[in-house]
Amino acid sequence: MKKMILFTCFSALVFFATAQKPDHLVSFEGIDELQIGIGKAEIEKLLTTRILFKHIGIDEQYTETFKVKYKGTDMEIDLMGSDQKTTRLDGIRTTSPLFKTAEGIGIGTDQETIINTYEKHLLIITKEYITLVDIDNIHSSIVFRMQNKKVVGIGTEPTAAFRDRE
Amino acid sequence: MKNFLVYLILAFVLLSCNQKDKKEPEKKIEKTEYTITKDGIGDLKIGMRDADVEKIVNQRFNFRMVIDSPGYWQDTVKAKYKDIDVSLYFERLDGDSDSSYMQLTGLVTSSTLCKTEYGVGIGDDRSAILQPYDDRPIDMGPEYEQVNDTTWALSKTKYSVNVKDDKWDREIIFHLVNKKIVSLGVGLIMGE
Repeated sequence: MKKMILFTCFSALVFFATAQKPDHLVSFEGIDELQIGIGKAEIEKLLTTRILFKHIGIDEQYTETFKVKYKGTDMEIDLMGSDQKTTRLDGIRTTSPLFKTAEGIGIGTDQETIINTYEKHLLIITKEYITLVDIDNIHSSIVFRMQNKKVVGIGTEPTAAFRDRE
Repeated sequence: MKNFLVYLILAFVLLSCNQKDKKEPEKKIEKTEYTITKDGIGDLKIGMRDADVEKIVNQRFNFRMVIDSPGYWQDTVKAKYKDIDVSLYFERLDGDSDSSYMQLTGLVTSSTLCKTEYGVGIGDDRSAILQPYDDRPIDMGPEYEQVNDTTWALSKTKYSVNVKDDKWDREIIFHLVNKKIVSLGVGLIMGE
């Protein structure tokens, strides 16, 4: 019986340890809880602040970028929509060294490490950015902003046009 | 005198450090008739009309796909350009059948004679491509391959590196198998 309880406790520990997402994770879905596609109300709840539009629902512009604080870190978020109700999170970026991909790529990582780490992924490399395209959904990507071949910014954004590789 | 010597050594050390930081620009090799650039190989230039290409390769093209299949506007033909075998990709321009013609939009070769202006060719690896084209936009990754009639999947062995020109309208394409270049070509970038 004792063994059974021990085994159950151990299994539960393993389950929670693997199921829980690490803090400060940059993924194709977003950064931590700030997931691409969530609505304005949810964003405001996570940021514990109100977002006041200057363009969306006011003029013809349907995207707006805001500088915000999330978990004490400066972030830049892009919102897209035509009014308060339809507006969704469309992009998110940070320059904080705390935020990394699941593979440990973050601020300071060099270009060669990125290329070698994501060998089985699609990459778009320009002087200023390396875009890591989600192979399961080529419309989303993790974007590394580069300076002197090192990461100076990281974020999740919709993918720019990508060549058909078939 | 002692001070002078110290300064001299210091200057030498600083100078050598600076030299180390400076990256040697990649040297271009002498162009040959088989040098591949974003414009094509030798006389075969991207954008040429089919009639002009036929004269160069001394071969009459039969665009079976375009003739036999209504709605098709692309076709591929194999040809010999001097000593190398090439696959030539054509696309029909203009919807009007009377005035339409086939335009060369891409070519690919597996010949070892064919190299880029930086000497990159068959058998080289990915790093040999990335070094000289350091300042160019590049996209790269595994190629898709057909698993069965309905399924495509990313290949575990086939990989391609596309080096674009600054205007993003042409690209040199390197196809790799097991991390080595097996063919290279040039093409127009479509739909961007």
